[in-house]
Amino acid sequence: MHEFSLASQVFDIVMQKAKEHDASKVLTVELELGDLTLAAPEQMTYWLKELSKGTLAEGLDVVVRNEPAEVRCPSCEYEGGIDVTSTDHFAIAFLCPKCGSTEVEIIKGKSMLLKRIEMEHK
Amino acid sequence: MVETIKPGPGETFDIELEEDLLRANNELAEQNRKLLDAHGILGINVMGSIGTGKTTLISRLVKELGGSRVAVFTGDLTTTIDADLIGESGGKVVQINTGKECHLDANLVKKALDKIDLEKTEILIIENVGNLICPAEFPLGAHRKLVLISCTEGPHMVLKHPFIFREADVVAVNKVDMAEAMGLEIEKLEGDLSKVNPKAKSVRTNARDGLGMAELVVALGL
Repeated sequence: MHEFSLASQVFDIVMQKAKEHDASKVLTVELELGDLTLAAPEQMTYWLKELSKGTLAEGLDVVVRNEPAEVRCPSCEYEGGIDVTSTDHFAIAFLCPKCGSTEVEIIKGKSMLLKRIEMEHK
Repeated sequence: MVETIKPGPGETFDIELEEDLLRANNELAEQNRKLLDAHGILGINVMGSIGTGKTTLISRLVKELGGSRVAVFTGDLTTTIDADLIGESGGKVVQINTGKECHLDANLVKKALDKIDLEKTEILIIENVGNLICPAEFPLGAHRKLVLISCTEGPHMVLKHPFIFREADVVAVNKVDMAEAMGLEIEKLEGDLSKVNPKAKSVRTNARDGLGMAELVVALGL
């Protein structure tokens, strides 16, 4: 729901980097969004494309890579992936897939990163 | 002598980064926390959907805690309705209007901290924008997170919004007088909560008549 403000931040960083590197055009922006973040890739892409209209990033490709969720279970020492496609909502992140404990710790899947910018030099 | 090869005109090149999009907010939240700590102020971030009774509950809390040592920030898109209501209960109130933004962020809270007397304040209550999705991802620097559910929202709130309930230190199940009329089993809601967040304390409240407020004060460690 807050994709616009996140996309604005990405856009600001991209424009700043483009300036620093003397770019005439921004071709690609690559993001990494974790399974367990509440930012939707489609909306991030939409807002980045909107924001870039009329700038040197207009028409850019937005690549969103997914960071799969992983948890660690203090009870059974399970460490690894979870099923994020489950329709049982709290099972998505909060139950250990091995022993069912509810006290799992999230170790991956919360990242929101700007990973790469492809630019064209002046 | 180090030779560097730079891209020539029209050539494309990549730069690799590791820019955390939440870093700016998290750093400001850290600064807010330090400022609160330096003045011995306990901050509480109050979250819940629209109409759960956040404002009414905060007004009660302010009265319960003795108005003058409490400051309240109320987050809303454009109105001062909440600030006006809480102002009647005696605390110092700062309205934060987010315009179109669906959550408070650490920067808005930082600005509001300039508007209160930090020396006189012991407790800061921050009423977030009514929303269960976005506030979960934006820490403000508060020490405790209180999430409200109201019985009029139906039986599925915890399972539909596990992220925010996982973040909660205390959950107030508000409007308990409406549970029967709504056919809602509070025990079921509390059961869901204990699965999503076994560490959160849960308190039944009815902010309108003050039920459960003393228990809530204890649960929040005030």
